[in-house]
Amino acid sequence: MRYFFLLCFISLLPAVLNCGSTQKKAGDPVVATATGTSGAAKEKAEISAEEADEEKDLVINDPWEGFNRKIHAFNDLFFTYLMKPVAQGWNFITPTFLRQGINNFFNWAYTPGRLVSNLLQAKFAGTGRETAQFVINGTVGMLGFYNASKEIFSLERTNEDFDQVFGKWGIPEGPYIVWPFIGPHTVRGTFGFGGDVTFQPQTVLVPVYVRPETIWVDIGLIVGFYSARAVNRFSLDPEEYDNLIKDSIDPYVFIRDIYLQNTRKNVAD
Amino acid sequence: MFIHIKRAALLAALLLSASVFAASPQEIVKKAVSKVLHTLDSKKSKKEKRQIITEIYHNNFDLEKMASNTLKSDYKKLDDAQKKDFAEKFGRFVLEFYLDKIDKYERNKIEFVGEEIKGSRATVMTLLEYQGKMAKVNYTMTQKGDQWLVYDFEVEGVRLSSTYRSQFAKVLKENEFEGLMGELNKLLAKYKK
Repeated sequence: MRYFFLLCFISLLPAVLNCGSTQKKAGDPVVATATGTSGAAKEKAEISAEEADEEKDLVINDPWEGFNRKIHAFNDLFFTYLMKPVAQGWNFITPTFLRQGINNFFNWAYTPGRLVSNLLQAKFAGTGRETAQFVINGTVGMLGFYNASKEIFSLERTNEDFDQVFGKWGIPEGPYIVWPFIGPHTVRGTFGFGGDVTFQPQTVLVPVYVRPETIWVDIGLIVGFYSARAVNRFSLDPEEYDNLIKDSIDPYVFIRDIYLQNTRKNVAD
Repeated sequence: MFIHIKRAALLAALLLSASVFAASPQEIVKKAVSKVLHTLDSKKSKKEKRQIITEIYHNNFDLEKMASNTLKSDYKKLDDAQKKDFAEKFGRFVLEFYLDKIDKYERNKIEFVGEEIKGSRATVMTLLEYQGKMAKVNYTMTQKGDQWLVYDFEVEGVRLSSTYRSQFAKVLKENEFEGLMGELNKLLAKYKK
């Protein structure tokens, strides 16, 4: 029961962290790693070419738009009036190399989730890359603070996650849904998010110390780690979200359409 | 002496072959991109850079096709003057959008992955370094005469046309063509800082 309770919170609250990264993912699809070989790229281009020829529109499944728009408005306020000032403050008091190092550390510490996601899609090259990267950065890279695998060996991380695993398994994405704090997802993406969270170090380490009387402390720790990562990541470019929605007429539709196109590409890759 | 003749002959052959075979889509994108990067690296003033890049954009983009490809079925409902107005305004928006993004350019690495030609359509696939990772950037081109022009592009699966399609359709439905032009003006105003 205790663990069930904990899990519920894990999948909902700690989202605070991912607000940053999710917005980023939605808004800044450029961030994702390009892992496809040229063959895969060609195949993909062929598909898009055919799509354009047939004048196919982007398929949008958004039956909960009314609800989603309200949450979107809430997230927008939360982001603008809480996340951004905090990230800007952090940006102001710390040097860039430290923030970049912390971000590298979190990316390194989140390797297990990506590694398992690669494995579950039978992407063995990706699995190998993640393993090598984990070992190199854990040692030469001083627990990931220095991205040695990339700087020295030009070894890129993958961007596999559980949403892509479920997509590859043929599970349909379901309707689009916007969550408070964690932002845009599909129904499948929400379960994917739960999967990702399960493999993150704070979720694995903190419950070891869980006692009924200290559960709030533990939840606080998990949420705290999440928020710290989010704030730190966002502080690398506090203007990113504003720059993104600047290009839109209707930010809600804009973010939704970008998110859906990007996740579909990631699943297809 | 012989070397000089050889060199001259080689040069002549190269020039000749260039005029016989029109440049492939990938070569065109490569040339345009390198011109843009060269301009950004130069010591010219911001205004001059803007001018040169604007010229490169107009030489390599098909604004009309970009407009029809974005509005899709709604484009056919516009009259000729509206089509022209929209193509011009949307073209300006895409240019401003592009100028705004490359403002943050920091000698990013670009790789040309390949091209795919299907009749009068081509896709040029590139990888662009962004925030330490390689992002897929694909250009979709159309053949006009013996020229290949870009009319759509895709960054990590996100297409220009698909991203603006629903937003434009919604405005057209609610506020007609004038509403759409008004929204585009508002967007353009955001870049004038």
